[in-house]
Amino acid sequence: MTTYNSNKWDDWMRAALDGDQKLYRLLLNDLRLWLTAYFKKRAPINAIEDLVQETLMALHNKRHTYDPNYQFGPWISAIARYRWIDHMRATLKYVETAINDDFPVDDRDRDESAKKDVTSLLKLIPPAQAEVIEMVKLRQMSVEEVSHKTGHSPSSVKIMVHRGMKKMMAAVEDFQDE
Amino acid sequence: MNDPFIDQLVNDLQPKRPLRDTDLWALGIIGFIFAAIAIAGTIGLRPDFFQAAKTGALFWKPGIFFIAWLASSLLIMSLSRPHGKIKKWHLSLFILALFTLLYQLLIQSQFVGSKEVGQVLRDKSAIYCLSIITGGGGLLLFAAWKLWITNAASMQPKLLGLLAGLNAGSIMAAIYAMHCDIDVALYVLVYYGLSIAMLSAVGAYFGQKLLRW
Repeated sequence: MTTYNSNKWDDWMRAALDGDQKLYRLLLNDLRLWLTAYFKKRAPINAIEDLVQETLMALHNKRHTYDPNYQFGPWISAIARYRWIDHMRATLKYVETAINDDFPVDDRDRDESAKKDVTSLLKLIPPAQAEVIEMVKLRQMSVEEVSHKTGHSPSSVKIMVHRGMKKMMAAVEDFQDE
Repeated sequence: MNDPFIDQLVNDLQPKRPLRDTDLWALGIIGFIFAAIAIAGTIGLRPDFFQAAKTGALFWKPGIFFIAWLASSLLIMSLSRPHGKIKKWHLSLFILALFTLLYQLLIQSQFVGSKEVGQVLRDKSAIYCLSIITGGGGLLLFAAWKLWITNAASMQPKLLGLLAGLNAGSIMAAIYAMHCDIDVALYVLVYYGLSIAMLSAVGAYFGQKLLRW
């Protein structure tokens, strides 16, 4: 794994702001490895390349917000985190609207990826809500089946799913605010 | 081995001037100067200008909004960068502005009767107050948006937009307070506050819609 190299990257980023393409290339190559390792811990494997490219693109477009008087590390970490949170937010929206009893065959990769993201977020909400969301959204059980299995009424199941998804969304927003 | 994606970014690299806090201070000062020229050149300063200096109204009224401008400028500078954080002392400046207004409300409640307050709240000049602060603040918000806010990369775009509205509204309110001769604190709270709240809401709306990156 590429480790964060503070002094070297600080210097390269400052040079990049002055238009030094050679050092910018070195920086981006180093960062590609570091970001791949960073996202491997947080996102499903098929989302990593997209997240790395989005982060490098954000670095490129917003490079003027880097203050050369400060360290580069916290700045690039914040960008990577923002991209990851954005990914999680989009995933939750997708799960809430797209994954249903009729499993979309042509977007299986995205569904698998979304399932993994949601599984990690389920730990952040109360167990009862997590159990219901897991059954409805990840195991594609119908509301009636979940109702029968858990003893909750069908409308309670729907409310628990809705509230649980809202809590997961709030948890993602909290990551952003930290 | 070359990576085509990285090649593309490297080839696109041009020298870029970093975002500097001094630019936002300069923008704010220019905003104050423009607002002052516009107010002094059109509707003029309050007729009892020197008397208001003696009673203190010339200081506490613009002072509240000047402090709010300072606080929102510091927060905007911080939140314009991805790793920017809200610092407690920035928020304490807002508390100072609020405390000054509450202090005036408390003091005035002892010698300004409810009938008088009611009359002042129904004063026809309230519509000018609302429209000048909101209109002028809107122009300042537009300028700040174009020159600073769109260049930011904030983790909290909605809050950044809200602060931009608050900042622009505070500049306009501080200058308008030099014209307005109604020194009832409740009037300031309601009409100045409403104008700034509207600008903040507009900023927050556009921040959420347009500042994601």
